[in-house]
Amino acid sequence: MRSIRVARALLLLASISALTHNPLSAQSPPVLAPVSTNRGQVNLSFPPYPSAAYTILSGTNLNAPLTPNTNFFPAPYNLATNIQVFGTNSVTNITANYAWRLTNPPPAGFYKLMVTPMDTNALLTAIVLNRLAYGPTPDELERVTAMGPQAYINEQLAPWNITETADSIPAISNIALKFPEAITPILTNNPGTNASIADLRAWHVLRAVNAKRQLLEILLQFLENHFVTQYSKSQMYFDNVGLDSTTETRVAAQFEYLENEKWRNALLNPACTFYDLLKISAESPAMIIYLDTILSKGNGSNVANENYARELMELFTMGVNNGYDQTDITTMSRCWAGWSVQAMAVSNAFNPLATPLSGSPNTNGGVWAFNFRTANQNLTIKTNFPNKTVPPRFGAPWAGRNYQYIVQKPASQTDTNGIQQGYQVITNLANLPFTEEFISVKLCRLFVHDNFAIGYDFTATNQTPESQLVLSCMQTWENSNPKGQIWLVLSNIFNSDLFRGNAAAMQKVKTPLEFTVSAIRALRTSTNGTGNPGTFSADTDGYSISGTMSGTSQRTSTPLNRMGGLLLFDRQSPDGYPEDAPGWISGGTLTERVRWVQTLCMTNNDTSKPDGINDTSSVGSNKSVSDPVSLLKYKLPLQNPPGSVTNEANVADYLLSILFPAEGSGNLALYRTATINYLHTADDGVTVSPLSGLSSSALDLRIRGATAMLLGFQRFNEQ
Amino acid sequence: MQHFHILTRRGFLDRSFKIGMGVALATLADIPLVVKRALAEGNIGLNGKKLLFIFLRGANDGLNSVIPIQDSGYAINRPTIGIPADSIDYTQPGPCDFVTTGSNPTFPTTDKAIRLGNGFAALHPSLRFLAPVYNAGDLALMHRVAYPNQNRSHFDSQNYWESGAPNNDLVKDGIFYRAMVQSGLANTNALTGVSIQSALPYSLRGSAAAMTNLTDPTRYNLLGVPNSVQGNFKADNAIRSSDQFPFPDKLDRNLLNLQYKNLTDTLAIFAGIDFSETGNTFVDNAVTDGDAPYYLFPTQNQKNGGAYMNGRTNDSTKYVVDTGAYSLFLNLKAAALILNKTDAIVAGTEFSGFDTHQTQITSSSNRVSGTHANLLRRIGWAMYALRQYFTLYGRGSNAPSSAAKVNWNDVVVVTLSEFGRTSVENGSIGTDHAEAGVMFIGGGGVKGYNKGGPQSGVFGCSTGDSYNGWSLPWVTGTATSGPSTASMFGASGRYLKRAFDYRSVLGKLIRDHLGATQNQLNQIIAGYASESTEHLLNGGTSGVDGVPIFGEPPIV
Repeated sequence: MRSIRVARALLLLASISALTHNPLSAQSPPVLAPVSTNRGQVNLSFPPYPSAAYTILSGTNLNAPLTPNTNFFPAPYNLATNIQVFGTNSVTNITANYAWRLTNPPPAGFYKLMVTPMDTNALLTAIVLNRLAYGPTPDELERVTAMGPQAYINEQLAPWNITETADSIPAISNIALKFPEAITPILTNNPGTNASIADLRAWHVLRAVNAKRQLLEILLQFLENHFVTQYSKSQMYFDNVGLDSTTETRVAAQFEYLENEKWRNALLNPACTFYDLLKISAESPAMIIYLDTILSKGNGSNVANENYARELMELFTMGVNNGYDQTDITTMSRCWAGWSVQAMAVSNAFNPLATPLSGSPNTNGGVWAFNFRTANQNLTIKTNFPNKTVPPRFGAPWAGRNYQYIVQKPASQTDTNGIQQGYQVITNLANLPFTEEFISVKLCRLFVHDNFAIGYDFTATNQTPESQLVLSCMQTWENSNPKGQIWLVLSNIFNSDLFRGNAAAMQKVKTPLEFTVSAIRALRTSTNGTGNPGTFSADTDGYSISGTMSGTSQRTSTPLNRMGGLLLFDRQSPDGYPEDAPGWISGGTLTERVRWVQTLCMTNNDTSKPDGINDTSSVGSNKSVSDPVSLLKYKLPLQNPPGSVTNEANVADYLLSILFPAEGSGNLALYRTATINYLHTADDGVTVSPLSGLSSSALDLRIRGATAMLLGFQRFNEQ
Repeated sequence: MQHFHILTRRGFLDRSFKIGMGVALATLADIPLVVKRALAEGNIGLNGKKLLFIFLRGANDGLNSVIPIQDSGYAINRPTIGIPADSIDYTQPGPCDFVTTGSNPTFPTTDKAIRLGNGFAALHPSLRFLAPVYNAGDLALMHRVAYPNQNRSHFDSQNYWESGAPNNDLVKDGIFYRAMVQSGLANTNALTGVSIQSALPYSLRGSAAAMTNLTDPTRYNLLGVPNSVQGNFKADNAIRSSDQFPFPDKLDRNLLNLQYKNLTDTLAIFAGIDFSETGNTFVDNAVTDGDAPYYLFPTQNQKNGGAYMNGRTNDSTKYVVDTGAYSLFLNLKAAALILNKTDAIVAGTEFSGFDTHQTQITSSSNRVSGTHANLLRRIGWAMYALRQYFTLYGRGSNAPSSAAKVNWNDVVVVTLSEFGRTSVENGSIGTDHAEAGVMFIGGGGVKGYNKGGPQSGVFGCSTGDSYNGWSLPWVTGTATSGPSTASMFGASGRYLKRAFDYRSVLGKLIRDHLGATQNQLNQIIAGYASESTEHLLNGGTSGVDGVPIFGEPPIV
């Protein structure tokens, strides 16, 4: 259904000045600025409208209908920058207008602008493939367009019904085979053959590229980053314990893998709750080491370590300053003293109350696992949140609830029931309204846009769409039985107006992981339709994105790290990697993004070039490679009408349609002009040199260059 | 008590608008930045003065950095991790002890707390590289620095230090960013504020002008993958002009546009500076141990300490910093080069890893090595090296780098850190989040030991502390139940109580060093516009939380 909005301006009449607008709210249709003529040219200027196509109508007689005038072409723009400083805050409004030009116009004329917003299903298709998945592939774009975006949402909300073919891809299964299951005694099992952190990272990237359960992979990355732990802190801990250097890296990698696997299994339960996910994090040896619980002593006069209790409330459940204070941190920290990681007999790998093995950790044949050390536990009664009540801003049913809860003291320093203290804490935290709010806010930031916050007054009469969505997530959480069912909360978000329109589309910037994976996916199709390895028009081994090296060299040379310090499974700071744009966008990181897409597209067959990490063998082998000509040769003849790889307009239009599906053809006009100019000129950018006159190798280079240029443009950084 | 701030952009814009109307846009509203320089007041960016910041992320343990060695509460409450006192009289006045042992004349070695000569305080032995800077009068050690109603979340508190607006989540731009906007040069000069780290820090973020961040100075080049020169020219040209393609407004498009433009505007500037390893030739002029002079920026084993210089084998005992510090000194070198060779006014980087909850020392029998000692060596050597770099390679030196624009007298180096750590050690041989901490401030224009103002370079760590007519001595003693009169337990009975507001320190530097007018400073740090409440300038009892503070320290 196409809705048509019309704005008009009469030649040489004064115009209405453009209003500044909020990028999140519905926008009025654009108004034509005063029409100007200059040296025999007519300039029509108007501000862009989201996801739109533009048609310019013209005529010389108002008594007759105006008709489409296809002779207008988009021209250099006009920019007005308006900076306002308010006290210490300043705001810039950059008003970017289109200037559409017509040469040799009639002496007088009437012009009308017709703005056609994108079909709502087409827009939602782009949104779901950008948010529920690591970006569209050409095939997924076709599939979701055919099935409808709602069907895709429903499909991804039930991953247990999706057959995951990624597990059988050799590159993935070969790595997975290297991870022994939880109870395998990896200390005695020649850990040198076990997977390393580099393997785990590549496996994670490969799943992001390949998985059919795309939303599940998005959620697993979210959980890894939300319940953040650090590979190298585990590794350093075991180094201090005295493990040999290979084993310590393998044990540390295994912890990160196990977190991922446990969350995956939990999420494959339709009734998975937030408590289930929180419990996996709390019991994870990586977490117990990461936030120093392992060394915490609450016995006697010792002061328990506050680190985990603080971040548990601030970052993992309630949100900063949201319903707790320093006293609560100190009190709660005493509940965790005793949670530890020890070398356990294989038979006791899941029994935290068993006695750890003694002897050298390198030779005692144990498996490193969660263990409760009664000797470190604290023997006081802990009154958490003493007489605290939920503040009025939450409204019903939460406001006024007293959420104090008392954790009883262990009977003695050897009482193994003391382990229950920690479980009582997370049971209580998991469904506090503060937790419901904070986790809902984080999910909304992930899936809708970045400008959600904790602290809304849910009782106010004028609710913003954002506060309304958070509140409805909280209500879904509260009303599900058991409480906190993640899939229901997500369904609530995906069915909200805020998610399904321009308030979500392209409002977020891709993280380095999303940027690299989405670039591979955008150019990736099986060029003979088989879907078999070796036939993809873009591929990666994973390692060339997330890193093959360790130690210092890894920190300076992996693409994800270069784009802003993203080391998968190895975040130092417990707030996780940023979700918002300012955390990722600067001149330095944009340089790396542009260089990486140039590498992906243009360095095939030449490792001597800077960043030339690509393999010289065919597409589908190791490294990150692309073959846009194969993609175009496979897909263009299937378009309606069929296109050709030697037709500049066909190539430009197809690339724009797969790389920027949410933008609208009208707004891509200048990208299209730039692409056609690139394709149609020799290396000097001036001399006309049509694709049809090129050798196959020159055609290949030309199209690779145009593809790299489009991937390097601003809009590909967005989702 | 809970404060909630709603942070939607919509709310922010609405609020900004109302505030703007309220003050009738008294300053430079609506005037494009390009013409603001002509209208701007003050001397930021015109007087040749520059600032180099280092953010110590994770919260540095101030009490184990500048140690209140004469406070009995220190050793009692840090029985495991406390730095041992030497068998000397710490009350003896004079310069910082310059302990010389062995054959090394320049860099003293000791494993005891180093006397600072202000009658009270001592330096962690791993900060011994600060001694020459201190005794030259070029160093101010600021103790008891925090802000009202101290927040103990890393992330909130780092944001507050960097926004210059504690406990105000509505201020979304940074303190150095605002200083650059006030200079009138932002968006006129491609470079004003620069960082060298993984992301642009909060202190340089803002929506009206682009500050610059380099993740790896040696790779700041769009043409990383030449296909052919012309072919790249074509793509490069398109990318360079892509900031001028109009698109409908979205949340991040303004940011992307400004940063793409800043990137293309700054490529040529950075291309003219040699950031490479082979370009790292900067060495000290001091001769140590018979070796050739040490490299100032230790970026690899061969440039760490002196032994390599004579072709001897690697001597790790002579390393000036731990081997994990090389990437930090790569970034620090870039910041120094940028200040020296470009028009950038503020440049900085970050050192992380200061969150020493556990095992901050090697063991109770070896308290002066381990995690925190290594971190302090980085700070000490960074300050020493920057002084030597700007002195030896700056403007007017004997061997200036080509086109050197500044020297040590033009530069102030300042460290920031979100809070201090608990006065009492925890059961894990570490310390938890607390309140007041320490700032290190160096520069040729700094009024430290025996130079101008106070005779000591220690500010806020003695029993005789008195500034601006206020006397707020460090009170010795240990914890009592509830808030104690003792300084180390003066906040909530657990934390070091503040005597300085970090905004007074940064404000003093921005006005009296960088050249802002007081009127500009009121815009850059909003607290200055409320002197009767905040007392950032002249001191008094904070109207925000009732804690008496000194106001500005006389450090420059």
